[in-house]
Amino acid sequence: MVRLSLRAKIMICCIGLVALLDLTVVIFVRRHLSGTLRAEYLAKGHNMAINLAARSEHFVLTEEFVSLLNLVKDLKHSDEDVAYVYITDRKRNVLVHTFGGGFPADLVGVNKLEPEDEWKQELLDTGKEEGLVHDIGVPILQGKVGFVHVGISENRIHRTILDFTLALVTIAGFVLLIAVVLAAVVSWVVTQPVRSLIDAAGKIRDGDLGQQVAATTKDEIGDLVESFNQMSDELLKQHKVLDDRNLRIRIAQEQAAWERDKLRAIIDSMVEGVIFVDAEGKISLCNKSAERIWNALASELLGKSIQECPSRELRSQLGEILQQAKQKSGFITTQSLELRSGRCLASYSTVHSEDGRYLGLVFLSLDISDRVALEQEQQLLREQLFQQEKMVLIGQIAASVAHELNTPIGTVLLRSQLMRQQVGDSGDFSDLDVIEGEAQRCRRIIDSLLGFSRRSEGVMTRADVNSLVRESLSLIEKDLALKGIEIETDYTRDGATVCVDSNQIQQVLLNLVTNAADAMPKGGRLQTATRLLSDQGSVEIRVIDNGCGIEQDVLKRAFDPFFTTKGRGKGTGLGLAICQRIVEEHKGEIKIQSQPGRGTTVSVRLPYVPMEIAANE
Amino acid sequence: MVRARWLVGIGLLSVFLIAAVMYLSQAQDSKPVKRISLQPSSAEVVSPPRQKDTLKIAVGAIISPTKSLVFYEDIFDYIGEKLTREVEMVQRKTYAEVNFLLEEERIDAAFVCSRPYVEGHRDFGMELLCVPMCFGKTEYCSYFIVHKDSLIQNLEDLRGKVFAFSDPLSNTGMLIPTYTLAIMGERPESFFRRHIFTYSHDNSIRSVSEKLVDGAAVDSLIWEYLKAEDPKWTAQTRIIYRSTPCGIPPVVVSPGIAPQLKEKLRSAFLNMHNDPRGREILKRILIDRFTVIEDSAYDSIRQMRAFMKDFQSKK
Repeated sequence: MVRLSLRAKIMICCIGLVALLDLTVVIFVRRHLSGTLRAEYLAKGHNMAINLAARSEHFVLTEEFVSLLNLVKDLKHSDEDVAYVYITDRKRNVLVHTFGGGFPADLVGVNKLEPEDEWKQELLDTGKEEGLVHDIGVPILQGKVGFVHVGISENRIHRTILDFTLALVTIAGFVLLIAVVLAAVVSWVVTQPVRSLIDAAGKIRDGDLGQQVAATTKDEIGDLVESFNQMSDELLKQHKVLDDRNLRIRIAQEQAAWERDKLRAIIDSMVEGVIFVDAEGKISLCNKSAERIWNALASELLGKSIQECPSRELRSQLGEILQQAKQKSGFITTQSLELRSGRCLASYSTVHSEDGRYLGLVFLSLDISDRVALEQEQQLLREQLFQQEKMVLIGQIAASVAHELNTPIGTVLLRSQLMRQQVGDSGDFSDLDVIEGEAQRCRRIIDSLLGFSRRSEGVMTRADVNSLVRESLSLIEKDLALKGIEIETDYTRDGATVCVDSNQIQQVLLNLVTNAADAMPKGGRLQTATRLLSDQGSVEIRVIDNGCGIEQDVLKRAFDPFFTTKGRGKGTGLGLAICQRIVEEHKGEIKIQSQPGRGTTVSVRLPYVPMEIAANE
Repeated sequence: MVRARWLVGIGLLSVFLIAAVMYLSQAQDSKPVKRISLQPSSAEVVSPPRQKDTLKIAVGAIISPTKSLVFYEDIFDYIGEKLTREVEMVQRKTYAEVNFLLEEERIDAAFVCSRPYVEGHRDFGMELLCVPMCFGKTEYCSYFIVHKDSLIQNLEDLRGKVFAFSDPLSNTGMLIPTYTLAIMGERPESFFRRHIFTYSHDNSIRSVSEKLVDGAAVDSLIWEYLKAEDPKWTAQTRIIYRSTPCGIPPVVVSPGIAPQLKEKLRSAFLNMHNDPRGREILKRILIDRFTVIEDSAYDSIRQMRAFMKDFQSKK
């Protein structure tokens, strides 16, 4: 449907009405005029015919045809509407007529009058000759004498009607034009307040409140304008009230939001994990610490019941507590929990409303793994410090003792050798051999002590670990074979190079292999393996035996100086301590893993120095 | 809802327009129109040939042609029935024309005035067939009439007035008044200021009653008949002089008429009053019956003519 404006509707109605009126008037007047004109023409023709009948009466009776002819011709010429005139006798023989060439055959018998007819008319269509012709027949003396026929042409009627219709249509068109102008003006005037209202309403819609429209009329539209103005005022007032209220609400909301955010931030910043389980058993609050501690995302927890909780530990922990919390009012408890990720301290407290209704359970969990780890680390550090101090002290004592003993031992050895020379070859040297052997042993112990306490500055060279291992093994291969020990090697092909003092490292390796061989007195299998741990930037050498293994308490003290499980005279208890010192001097580490009865694995890790760096050095 | 209202409006308007167009178109062709051409036909419309056995009877202009028709038509129909022949009434403007038709035998019989009979009888042997008897007489006279309000009381008062004669050949309308004047030693030209011919007695009566003329001489039979029939005009007139009676206007035949026809015709007229319908017709036109009189009944007219001839020749 086309959208029409009010003005267009008013105009269409006005113009339509006038057009309808115009049409009605034109149709009615034209119809009325044509009817009237035709009636008048008929009346005129009738009068002419009657007159002619009266005048021609005695000419017909006395057969004065010339006079009759004059009569009909005079009549024909007297009026342009007369198409023809003819007179017949009572037997309808044509006496006189006004047709130039002769009487038309078509007219014979047309509009035939009966003696009782006063008059009679028939409409004839003569085409282009005379147009529509009314043949009006009148009897002369009731038909006793004859009949007069006068043909009245409608041409002039049509011309008149056409002219009149044209004039009428012109006037109607003029009236319509005036109506259009008037309708335009009237519709403009009538719709002016409405347009003002629409403009004002549009401005109000766009937010420009308080619009007022000037009331120009005192009719319904005027009332409408007044009501609109009041409504606009009221709207403005209400809008101001609403604005104030909205402002207050917004401020309150902002404050509330700020408070909420603050609380949230506080809760989130808490070290303790906070989880609130509401009365329905669903988690409705959860902070970041809780996520971390319970290893679950907030999105996985919030809105979920405890049974749906993804963290199995939390589920098992909370399920039980929740049952208790519901049953006891003011339930508060604290416990320490061991988790996979560490330890945590958990506390539970129920929350009740002022009227004592159970609202939920607050579950606080504090991760104490770090604290425990720290304590452990401190303990370790203390032990290491103690060990180092001990080692330093032992070193100092060892150095001091070695130094003090070196001279007397040297004197013993020297005297014993002098004694041997003094006795000569025939003497019994068995005691002397024991003295000399023991003195030598003392000297070796003193050398070991000196080696342990001495921080030697060796020559650091690039070396292939595999070569180091291979050379070290070659020194002892025969001894091992005699002891029934089978050697397996597994060398890396990754080019594991290190920058070390080769002698010292070989000393370490020999020491380790010797220890392994000692662990397998009945023979066994010794494995040596090297590998490059490029991700850690180190090279690892492992010495594995399938010997008797080491007990745990022994293992703890393995690196202590002078601690040995070997029999007297077999070990000084300084081997592993020296190994540890050498490796640490090379910024490496040494570890022992052992299972009693199954074997021991000693791994030495040294810093990996790639070939080119080593070459540069 | 709005759309429905618009549709109803447009529908009503359309109905109105359709009705208007139908109304207009209907106004053009309210009746069936016969399509004809006014071009002359190749063959001229010819009147059917007149039947030979049609009996033609003329009526002299005693009264106006219309009055004659009304007066005589029933008699003609009656005669036609009795003779079993079609009777055609022939009228002419003057007595002379009727006499001419009789002389030329173009008509079979005629109702003529007394004086044309006298002259026809003399000129070509016009034969007397019968005469009507009116008011018990076979005579009639001339009435000199004036308007009833006129101051004219006698003939002498007509001097210097305008006078109407009927036909120059009329007896009561012309011969008797001129004869009366001649006796007084006057002629119409000298006695009247002006005189006219009305060519029928009813016209003369009407002329007087309309005061077109001051006086007129009319057939007494006509005046009486009109007075009985329709006194509208006669009531306006007053008779100031009655002439001496003379022979009544007769029914005549042409001299060449077949004797059988003449006898049949005469028999029909004479027996008219014996026939109920004939009697009714006669009663209506104030004729007692038709009878036969001698030619001598018209001698007084012949005398008047002779006197007038002498009078005019003296002058």
